[in-house]
Amino acid sequence: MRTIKFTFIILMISLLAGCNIFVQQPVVNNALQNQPIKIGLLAPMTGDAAEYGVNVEKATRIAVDEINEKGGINNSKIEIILEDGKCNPKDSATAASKLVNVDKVKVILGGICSGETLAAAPITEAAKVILLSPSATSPDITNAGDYVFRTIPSDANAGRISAQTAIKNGLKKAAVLSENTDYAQGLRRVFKQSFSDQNGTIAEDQTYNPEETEFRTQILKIKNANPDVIYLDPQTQQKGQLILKQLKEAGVTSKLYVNEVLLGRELLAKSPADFEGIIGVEPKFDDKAGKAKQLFDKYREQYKAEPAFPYYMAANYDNVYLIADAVSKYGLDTDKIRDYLYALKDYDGAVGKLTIDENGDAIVGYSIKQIINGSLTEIGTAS
Amino acid sequence: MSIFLQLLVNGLIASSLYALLAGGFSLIHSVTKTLHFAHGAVFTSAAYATFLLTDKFGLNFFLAIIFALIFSTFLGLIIDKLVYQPFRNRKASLATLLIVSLVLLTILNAVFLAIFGSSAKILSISSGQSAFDIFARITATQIAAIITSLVLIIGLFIILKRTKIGKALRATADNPSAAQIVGISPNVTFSIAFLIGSFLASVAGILAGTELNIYPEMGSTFVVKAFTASVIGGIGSVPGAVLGALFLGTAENFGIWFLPSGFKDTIAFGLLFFFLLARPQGIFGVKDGA
Repeated sequence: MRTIKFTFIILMISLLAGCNIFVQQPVVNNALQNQPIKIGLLAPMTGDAAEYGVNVEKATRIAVDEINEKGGINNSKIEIILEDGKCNPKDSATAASKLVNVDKVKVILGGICSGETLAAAPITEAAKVILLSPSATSPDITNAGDYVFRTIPSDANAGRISAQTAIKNGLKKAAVLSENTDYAQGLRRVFKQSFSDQNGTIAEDQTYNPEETEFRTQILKIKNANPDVIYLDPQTQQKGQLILKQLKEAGVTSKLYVNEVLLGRELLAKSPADFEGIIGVEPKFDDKAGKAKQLFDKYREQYKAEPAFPYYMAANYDNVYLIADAVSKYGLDTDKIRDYLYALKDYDGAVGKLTIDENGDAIVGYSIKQIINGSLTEIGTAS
Repeated sequence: MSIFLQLLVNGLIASSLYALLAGGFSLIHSVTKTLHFAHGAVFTSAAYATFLLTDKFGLNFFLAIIFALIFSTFLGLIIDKLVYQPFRNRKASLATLLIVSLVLLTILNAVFLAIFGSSAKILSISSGQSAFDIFARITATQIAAIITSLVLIIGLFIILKRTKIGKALRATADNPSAAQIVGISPNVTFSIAFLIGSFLASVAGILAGTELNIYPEMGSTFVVKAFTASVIGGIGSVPGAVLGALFLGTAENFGIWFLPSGFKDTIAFGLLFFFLLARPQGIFGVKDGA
């Protein structure tokens, strides 16, 4: 009896201590042989911003399928684990924690929205997990962490170029209408700062919350200030379209400068009249040549649709290849993947020649576009 | 065009939608004592039905409206018969019914999400409208929304005050047992209340669809506004709810003229909080039923 009790106590203690006395630890098998390599994808799959997530996911899958068909990374297939960040910080933090702690991924592609990326960054940073976004542009991401990268430039540039272009075109008095999200607020800050720096005046500065759909009073305030130019800065294109509609109804005749989300191709193709005349700035890249052409030809064939947000999609396609290349060389050692990304220079990707600077941001030029007769026309470039 | 008039008109446009929804919400609550938050889903269903019929099946807009109205009105009735009724038969408490209605709203929102996807839909009829300057800048659909809302609410009052059905509804609202003793079947009055209420919500949903984006959770936002309007006007009183809606829509629009516009919902919830705390019987203190 006593022995049984004793054995039992020993057993309990050893269980509590977490060391298994009966089974020998298996020898750590040499790295990743044939185990799938799990890569997280943090993207909005519901809500208005799902437009970004759904499209980026498709481009991501195309890249993953291409790599897997060729045998994967060192004979291991890539497996994408998709989590919905809903384009908001709260859900994104939950999703990132799940990817890091439950799925134990070492690399997360995303977040797509700046709010997602900024909320996920502290979690991935603490776990030394690589966070690589194709589309989050908030200036704050520059300093979000050492393991945080993006293959799109910071809005510190996009906002400045928009302001410069407006001033150059003789528009000195601006009003800003922006959504209350990390992305839009980052851009709003830069635009206002650059516009004032170049002796422009900000006559009205209005924000609205993401769940709002009616902007008449904000528009009335802006109309009352009689600006030369209105800078429209929504988080999603649907919101932007609604605002454009309500601006038109209110009889506002100021010039309209917009952020890049309003240049999305799908809604533009559906109702071009709503977007006529707007001027926006987006990362410049040639989607009709090289890897981009291959990707989009494949996309059109598989999904029977035009790519809605070509840059984001091409950038995440590149992200998969970049990670695959890094993992094939260094395994899942995130310190080494980090150094690999910092050292990236003139990589030949779908977005063109890709270089990552010392803050983990991509260096890419910009294209200034206007919607003329329903189609997106380049009216200038800048960097 | 003065700023004041434009703000008033903007408030009126918002109020006309709130009033339709709040009127129905309040009628259903006063008669059946159910806080019917799934009312928001009935509202959304009408907007989606219109979208489906016009933009997907290419039906004539007015024909589409008629079908959408029939569909959503009966959706309201079906919700009562299939969901609330069994709970009421088991003598479920009002709190249980409230939870059931919230759960139902969530489920139906998820159904809209599953069928139509998450991205906002825009009725093609609402694109490219021009506006007139009458007293203030307003579009044809907005004028239509205000007039429709006004006519329907007057109609509702007439039904409630002048017809036998109205009397039966008010009797059930006041005292269901006494009403039953004099031969008014609560099952019938409950159904009528749900039919009328859901009809009003469907009209509001279609009007909102022509004005704003259609998205799965749109009803949740609106039904909370309708609830707030009913509380402001005095919960359970239909005229109170309508006046509450008018007050809420105007307060929101005038409020953000002075406050930063991010405060719009804060104004609504601030009012809800204030009235629940300081004047739970509502502005008018109406205590009689519908």
